[in-house]
Amino acid sequence: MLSRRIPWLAASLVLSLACASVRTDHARTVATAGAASARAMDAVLVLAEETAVDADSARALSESGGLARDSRRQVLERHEGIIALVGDLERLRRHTKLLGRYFDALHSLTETEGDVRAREAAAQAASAASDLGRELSGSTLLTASDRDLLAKSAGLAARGAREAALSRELEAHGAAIEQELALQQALLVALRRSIRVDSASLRELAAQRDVAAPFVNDAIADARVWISNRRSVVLPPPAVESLGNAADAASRLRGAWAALVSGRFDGTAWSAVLADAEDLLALAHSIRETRR
Amino acid sequence: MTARADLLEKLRTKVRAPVERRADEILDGFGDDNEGLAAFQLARADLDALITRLERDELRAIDQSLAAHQSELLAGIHEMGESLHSVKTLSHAAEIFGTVVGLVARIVALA
Repeated sequence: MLSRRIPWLAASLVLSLACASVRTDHARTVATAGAASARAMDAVLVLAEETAVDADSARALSESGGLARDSRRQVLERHEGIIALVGDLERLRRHTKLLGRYFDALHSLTETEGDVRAREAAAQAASAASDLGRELSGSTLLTASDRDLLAKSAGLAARGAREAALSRELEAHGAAIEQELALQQALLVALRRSIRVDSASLRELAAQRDVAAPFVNDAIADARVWISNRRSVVLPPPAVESLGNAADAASRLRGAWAALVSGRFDGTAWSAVLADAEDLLALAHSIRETRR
Repeated sequence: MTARADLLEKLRTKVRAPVERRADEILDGFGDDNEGLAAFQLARADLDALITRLERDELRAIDQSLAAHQSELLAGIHEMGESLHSVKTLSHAAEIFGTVVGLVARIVALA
């Protein structure tokens, strides 16, 4: 009797959770991309801070040229706003880290390693119970198929709880995270403009101060340093151009999140979001390398 | 792009950038006019201060909108942590159940 009931019970449980499992996979993909995006955004915020401070210092230097002491002090005072700007960027970094923690939590919730362990333990138990039947009555208590289905059904309790928690979370905070991602995208666009402008200022002012002026005035103290300075203002900064790709990735992440919340599944979009995650991590790495 | 963002972009790219590009030429043009030079340099610093203020306004508007979601993010992290704990407990219970059944089976078989 038990042998007849077990396959139906287990099979129905497996089928009922199959669709939900696709959603978990989707959620894990989006969580991976979301966490990568938060890390890349943090790197972009640090780059924006450093570029803004350096450009502000270069401007203060340029604007103090030919001025008397009092006027130079006034120039410096007019540049004190940069301290508050850095404070704003630091607040945004804290928030971005919080978003990263959210996606890490979502990723942990969609990790199914525990379900696999439960399934393996159940498979061992089913095998042991079958051996026990053979010992007691000389016949197998469970067929091979029964044992397989028992093993499959063992992890389902944990998986069911996981799916229910994911559904609850998406329903409770899905819309807020969608808005959050839209704001992060707007932030990235604003930062990209600032970094591009500050980076251009830095290069322009450095080209005049460290390259043109010493050359024209025949005041190059160290030729190697001058050559190095000239190289740094002539070669394009790689990270600035990559920020355009990051903005596109942020847009695709928003789309993937909206699809997840509304239960729409798109395999091509998943692959794109996962590829974006790798690109964003590479961007964060390249920004860190450039700053060293 | 909003009017404010548009103004910020124009000030940065159409006003400040060309001045920075030709700063040395412009400064040379003042010759001995130190007063004119000082006024020009302080005007440049004023423009920088205005641009920084507009940049801060832009960032603070985004920051305030993000801050409005902070409690939701924290609640989500907390709730998912609790759910994960429950899921792990269930997985662990299934593992223990499997181990115990396996042990009992072996003990009975040996008896």
